Amino acid sequence: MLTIADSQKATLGLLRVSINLTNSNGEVCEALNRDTSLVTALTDIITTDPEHYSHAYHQEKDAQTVASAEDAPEQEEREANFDLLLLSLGLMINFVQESGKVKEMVLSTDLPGQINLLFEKLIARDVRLRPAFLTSGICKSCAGIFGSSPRTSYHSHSEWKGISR
Amino acid sequence: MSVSKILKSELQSLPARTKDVKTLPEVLSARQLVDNTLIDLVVTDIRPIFICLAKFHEILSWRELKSIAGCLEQSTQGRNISGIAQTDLNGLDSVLQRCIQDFNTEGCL
Repeated sequence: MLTIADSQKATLGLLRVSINLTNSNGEVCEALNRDTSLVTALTDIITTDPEHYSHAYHQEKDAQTVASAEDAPEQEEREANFDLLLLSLGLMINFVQESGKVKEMVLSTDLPGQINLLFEKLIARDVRLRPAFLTSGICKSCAGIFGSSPRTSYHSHSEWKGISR
Repeated sequence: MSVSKILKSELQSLPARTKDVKTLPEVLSARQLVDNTLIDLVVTDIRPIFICLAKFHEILSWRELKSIAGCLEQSTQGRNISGIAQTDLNGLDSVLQRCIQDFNTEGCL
């Protein structure tokens, strides 16, 4: 079976290392951002392809079905792209949250505007195209009604009335 | 795990690995150790690895970089890291940028 390339594993690993290093450490954030090139590269990843955000749904869906051998590399590629997206967002959050200097630097560019625009598009599309099966159901654990908000990954309870998972 | 344990393990596996080979492979070279051993290593002092990354990032292969990333990931997980000088991180930001840019291509360092 094909696996993701060493280059991708190295990239995801280094992003995780950077997140570990920048947790509660503004100095490291500043050392990694002597100019705007890294935050620009991260913003490119975050904003380039909105389709990558739907890969979380595909991951969940694919986990329920037995993937064929032909689908496996494609699924692995999607997962790698989704991981890249999440880790890039995580590192950007750390940069902005842990260092006022980096935050000012980022705010002085058009990068926040690009991210804002992307999320506005994603939210608008979600409102317009939200599938019916994501819009109704009751969580047995907390009795939360999901008539008004989509079922998303931040809700971790696994038992649902009216929804076959 | 101490360095001596690593070397001992490498030496023990040497006869099996050299059985069919007439010339002695460089199994104990720094590169081989990075390739085969570093990825499973958890170290308390990560500074030397960052210094190595800063010095040699332009000549490291993806496989070596993957091993270094694996070691650093395990060694920094759940720890509050301090004592790293800004100059030690010189390699990380540039490697990270190149990795991100080459993520979906067959890029090479």
